[in-house]
Amino acid sequence: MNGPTPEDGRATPDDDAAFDAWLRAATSAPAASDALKARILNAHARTALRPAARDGLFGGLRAIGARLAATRAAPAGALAALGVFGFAAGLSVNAPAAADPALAYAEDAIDAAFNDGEAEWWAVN
Amino acid sequence: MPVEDETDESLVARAGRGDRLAASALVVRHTDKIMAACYRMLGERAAAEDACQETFLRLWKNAARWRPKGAKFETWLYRVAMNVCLDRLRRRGREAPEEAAPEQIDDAPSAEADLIREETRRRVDAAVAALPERQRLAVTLCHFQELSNIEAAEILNASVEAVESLLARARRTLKARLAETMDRGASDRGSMERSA
Repeated sequence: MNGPTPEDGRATPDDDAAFDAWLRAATSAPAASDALKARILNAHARTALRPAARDGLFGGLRAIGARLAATRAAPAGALAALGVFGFAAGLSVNAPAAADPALAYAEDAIDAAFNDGEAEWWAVN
Repeated sequence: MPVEDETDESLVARAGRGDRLAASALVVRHTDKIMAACYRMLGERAAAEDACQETFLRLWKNAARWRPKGAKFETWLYRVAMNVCLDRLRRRGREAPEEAAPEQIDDAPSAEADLIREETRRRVDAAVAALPERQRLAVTLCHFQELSNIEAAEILNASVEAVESLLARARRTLKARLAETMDRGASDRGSMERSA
């Protein structure tokens, strides 16, 4: 850039195009952190579980299986989550109102079991 | 087809069916841009991260039903992000203003150019933050995110002429405010140098 630059502390350029370029050069925005990307992906997994649960136990198990295959979650935690989720999905077939809090609990348990795997998956990928 | 070559529209459809790879491809492709736009609008990293996350949450919730209606996916996503930011700005405006945290003073030795650059960045951020909402949106989308006026018009649900007018007014205001603060900064530095 020929005229003033953000580093020299002089007044801004008069010309419109030069001013726009000066403006862009003067500031920067932070990039999204890996932690934020992992949280966003985790939110995707959560939202994908609910419609799957509406398909009943089989849909729920399939969603969990896909997630298990994609991450490196601890097997014990994943199995525990699978059990809770199965319970909630089973309930949702017979008593949807009662299943909702159970499903929310199951999702939290799944998140807890998978969080480390998510972060690791993101770092690897 | 490798996931990198897939269109956004196809990835959204797959993400809506619970496909994790498609979701992560969308995250890789769009998170930095959405984060930057949210930061320009909200001026704080933490608030921008929350807004960015909320934008994607709205995407995931709508992915299974999302259909392109003329607009590109990215245009739609920017529109969601800008609406999330406007909601937050309005909520912030209604709440009692929080006392600003004291600025951290960086005591590490730094070159004068770095200090001036940091000072300039703060002035520009403050001047952009003081713009009226619509002007700030136009500046964020066109100047900082480098979208075309046509794309910005779609996002803002306005005509291209309206966007051009918003940009012209914003540029005039920014020039005036920055000229004033840059002059003051330069004279402050001059008097500090003279007294040193």
